[in-house]
Amino acid sequence: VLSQDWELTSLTQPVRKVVVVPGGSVLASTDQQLLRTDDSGLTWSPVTLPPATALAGVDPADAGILYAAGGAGVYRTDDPGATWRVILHYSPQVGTDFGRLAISAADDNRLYVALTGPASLIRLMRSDDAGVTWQPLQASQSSRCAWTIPLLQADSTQPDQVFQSAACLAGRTFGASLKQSTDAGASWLALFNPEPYQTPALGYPSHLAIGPGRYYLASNRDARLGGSGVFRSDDDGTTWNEVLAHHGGGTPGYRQADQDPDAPNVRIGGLVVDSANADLVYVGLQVYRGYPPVQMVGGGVLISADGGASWKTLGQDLGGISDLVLSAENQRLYAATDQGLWSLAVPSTGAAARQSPR
Amino acid sequence: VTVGINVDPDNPGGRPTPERLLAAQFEGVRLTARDNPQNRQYVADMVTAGFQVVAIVGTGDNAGFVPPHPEVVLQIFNEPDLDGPTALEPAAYADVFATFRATFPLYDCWTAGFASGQPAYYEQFLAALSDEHPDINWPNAVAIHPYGQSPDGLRALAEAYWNVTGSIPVVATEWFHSAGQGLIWPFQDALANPNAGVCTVWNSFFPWGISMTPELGGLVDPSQECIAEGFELISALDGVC
Repeated sequence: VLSQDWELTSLTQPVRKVVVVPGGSVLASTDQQLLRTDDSGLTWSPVTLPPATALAGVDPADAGILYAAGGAGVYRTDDPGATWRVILHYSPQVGTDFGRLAISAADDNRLYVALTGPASLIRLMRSDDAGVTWQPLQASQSSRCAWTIPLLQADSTQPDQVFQSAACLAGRTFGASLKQSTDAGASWLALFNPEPYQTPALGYPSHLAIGPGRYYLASNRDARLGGSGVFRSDDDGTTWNEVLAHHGGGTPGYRQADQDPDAPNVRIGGLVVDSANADLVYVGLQVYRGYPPVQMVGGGVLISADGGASWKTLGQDLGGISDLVLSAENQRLYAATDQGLWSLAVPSTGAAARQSPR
Repeated sequence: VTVGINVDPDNPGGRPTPERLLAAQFEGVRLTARDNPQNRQYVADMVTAGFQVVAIVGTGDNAGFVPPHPEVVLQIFNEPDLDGPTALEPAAYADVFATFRATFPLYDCWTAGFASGQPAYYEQFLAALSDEHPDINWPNAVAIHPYGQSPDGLRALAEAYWNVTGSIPVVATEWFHSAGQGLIWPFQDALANPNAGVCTVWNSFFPWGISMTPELGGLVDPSQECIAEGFELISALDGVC
């Protein structure tokens, strides 16, 4: 694998998000449209979305069922984009902006959605009937901040298990917790960074990859501190060890003791683990210089075959990685970049990998 | 030194009465100005009671509303130097500042609270203001939000902002430390003590009520009972919580 080079697919626009759908087809979101390939990237065809929306999720069991969000709310199609219907209307009582959607692979009627607004409100809801009805789970209001939900992810085998990480961004915010619910969102336990205001160096959890008996968690530090980390837990999130650390970047007022002011600010744009081999893990990187981190100057993909003990660069430098997914069906990694969508053949994997949230 | 507190008249847990704040020895309030009866009345009551009011304008749900009291300080925008939803390029921020300064000439105008720990943003903003809006007066104060800083870090940060011009006072419009860290008293001392002070015009703790930011904390709980942070800060001010 290490001697191979990535191949640029025929999609050469900037790609922001990529999803492998059941059966091995791939969906890629660009700034303008949603595209689909059924031949590993040789040819692409557009998927029609409702006006002013973006892809929000794909049914883990049925490639024909897609979810989009924006416009008037959250939408669903059962005929790959031919027709869409609203399954959750935005309103001041429910929420006015999309946060994130998670669909359980264990029960694809089980949906979780986080909506924000008006103002600094966040609400989490659950549907047990594929969006026909919704049950409120959580609501929280803050003052003078804007919510971000970098992670909302349903477990692929246990429908009542779900993970989330959310933060109301403002100057006071330096990180967020990773929280787990084992009762379908009724109650939550902080698994990682339980006191984010006290431990700014732990950052904002952004990607959770679950392999056999193991969690990997990617967390990007606040840009004022700079850097990122990948953490590993072998005990269902009770304890975590940092297995990949980048501590460059930051501002003069906030650099930490472990910070290298001359090193670039390396952030994580993707994280996947082989579903059959928890030691085999891939990380997509974004390299920035200066503050604020707006211009990516490099990136690439790292691979570890020993559970994070050592890392090597996988193929050539692709530039910043916006998303990274693993297709077990056709044994390929896909990396989303500003140059387009790249793919690389990887060793045989087991069943479909469980990846970071879409 | 005016010691203030961040409040939110539109949040039931974030609108202490003037009497409560006087007892606590606060002398000012900072809030987002909003054009609704509750917000307007709250500002009027605070002005009448003699509090210095700092009103955040030009961001969030302010919608361009300026309280009709020229003694109110306008703080223009909030945290534009952060990498996040409030980010603005320094030149764009200078345009926003100049618009408010020109439209409301009777009001003192402070910069947004800068929270990045990167004084270069402030330098670039002033340069853009001078270059693109030469008829606009510079800010009456530059504001920082020294979250997560030790007292020594606060001093270094405030000095870095002061040294940009050597003439514009530095104020801390938001800061927070949790109880039990042993930092509230020394931080407040660094902010307010004339001998050790670095922000000798104004500082305001964030927030009044835990309802304003549940995961961070505050001085009082949702039922307005004082909690540990409140006892620590308000006793440092010789007030009653």
